[in-house]
Amino acid sequence: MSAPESLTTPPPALSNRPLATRKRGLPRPLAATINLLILPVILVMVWWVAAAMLNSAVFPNPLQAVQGLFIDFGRPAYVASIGTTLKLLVIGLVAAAVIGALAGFALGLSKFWTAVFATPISAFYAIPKVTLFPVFLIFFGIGEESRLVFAWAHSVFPMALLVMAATAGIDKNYLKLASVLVLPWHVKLRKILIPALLPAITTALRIAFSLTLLGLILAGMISATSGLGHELVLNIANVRVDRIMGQILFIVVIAVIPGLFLRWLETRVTSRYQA
Amino acid sequence: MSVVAPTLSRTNVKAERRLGLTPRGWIIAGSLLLVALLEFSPRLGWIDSFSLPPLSTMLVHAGELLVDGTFWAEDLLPSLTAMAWCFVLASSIGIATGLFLWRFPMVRRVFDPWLTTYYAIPIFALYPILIVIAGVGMVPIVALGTSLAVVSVITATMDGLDATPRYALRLSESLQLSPISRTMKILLPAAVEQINVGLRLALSFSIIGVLASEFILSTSGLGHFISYSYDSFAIADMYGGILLVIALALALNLLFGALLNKRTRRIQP
Repeated sequence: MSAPESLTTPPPALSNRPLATRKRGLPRPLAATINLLILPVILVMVWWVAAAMLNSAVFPNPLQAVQGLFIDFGRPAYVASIGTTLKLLVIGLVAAAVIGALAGFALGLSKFWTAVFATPISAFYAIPKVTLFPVFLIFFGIGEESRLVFAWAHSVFPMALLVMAATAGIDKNYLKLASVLVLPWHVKLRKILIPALLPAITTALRIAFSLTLLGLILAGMISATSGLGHELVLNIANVRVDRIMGQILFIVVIAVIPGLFLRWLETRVTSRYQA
Repeated sequence: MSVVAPTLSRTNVKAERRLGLTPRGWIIAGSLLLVALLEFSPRLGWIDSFSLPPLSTMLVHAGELLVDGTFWAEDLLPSLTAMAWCFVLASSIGIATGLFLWRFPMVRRVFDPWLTTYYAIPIFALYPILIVIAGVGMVPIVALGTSLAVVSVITATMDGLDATPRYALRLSESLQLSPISRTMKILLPAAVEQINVGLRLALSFSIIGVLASEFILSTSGLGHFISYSYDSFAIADMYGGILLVIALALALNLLFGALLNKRTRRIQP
């Protein structure tokens, strides 16, 4: 990750900018946090007003939804589902990130193999993978394996594609220079490869995270015996709207917190290495 | 992400050969190998032919489905209609919202962080609540597909408008254009290339949104057909349906890409 801002000397043209914004009063992080919270607050208010106006026994207000969620938290089956989904998410994401990044890097080093693999990987990426889910079920069974492999297949290809494009885009003169100077591999890694690849890797990680989670929830909703997607679908038949809304809120929280963090990381890394 | 592909193919690489094959030759050879594997591995008993029937059997089933009137009426047409609705709604709402947010930076600042994190949220989680509100049918499917697709159009529209040359904006001021002709003659033509990128994404998202919703819970549509065939062990029908979906998705993408390129060249000389 990047060093604290005070350690890096900003170029003269940019160094005036923080002063200019500070005049307005609010420090930047606080203003950003307020901006971030306005929309959710408005949405919750609209939801509350809508629930009050409908005044229906079926449609819950936000408080009832959160209460519904806490009832779920008390159920061992729901807690187990949270555990399953988080476990599969971590394993799927790590596997997609490592395999995708390594494969993309290896292919990207050669212009020839990049040209060969770019088309099939993009074509597979364009296929709506949800239609292939029954095939995963047939080959991996109705269990955690099929969901894991399905989620992994969702995210590994964009990961490989982005890292491959970034590797292929490295100026080969730098690599030649490194071999002329007989730089040790760790210097080459630190000075050339990481600065060139890190922005693409963080972007790819953000996309891979959302696609893995999407794959897991989708697979759980279609066919599973546990997991957050499965829990959601269970409620449809019982018309437990308060539970559904509570569980959706929980899924949104699980998705948004890492999503915002990865977004922040991506901006930091990109502004540091692509200046 | 498919934007990456064209920049990678360089003329000197195209002519290069490895083991006597150019990159295109390798792609063709790989595809033929895949076709051969799909056809012969079940026939030779490498894979159990119930789990994976030979490719020719799948193709025969896909062909039978294409001449089956019930399949058209109950599965293909409902899906295509829903996809078309999603795409049209997402495009029009997306472009209008993009223009609005670009015009009012104060509002945009509130939306921006959420537009960029939107795709982190598995939007399919909303499907159960849409079903409870609107009942099983076309409405929740279109609502879900549209909400999946719309944000790509909004962000693409704003990106395109951000890149409008200053002189074009000044020109519209000095000509004292009305807001409508400013939008139609200056803003949208300037942003059309980016909007096209958004529209292509919106098409993919509409297809995915509709198929996935039909998979989860519905009474008709291609997604429902495939999942129903799986549930009733009609595996060959299932693979036939999957082949049709893949062909449909690739064809729609190609067709739309070609159409957009033609339009863009006409709008942007």
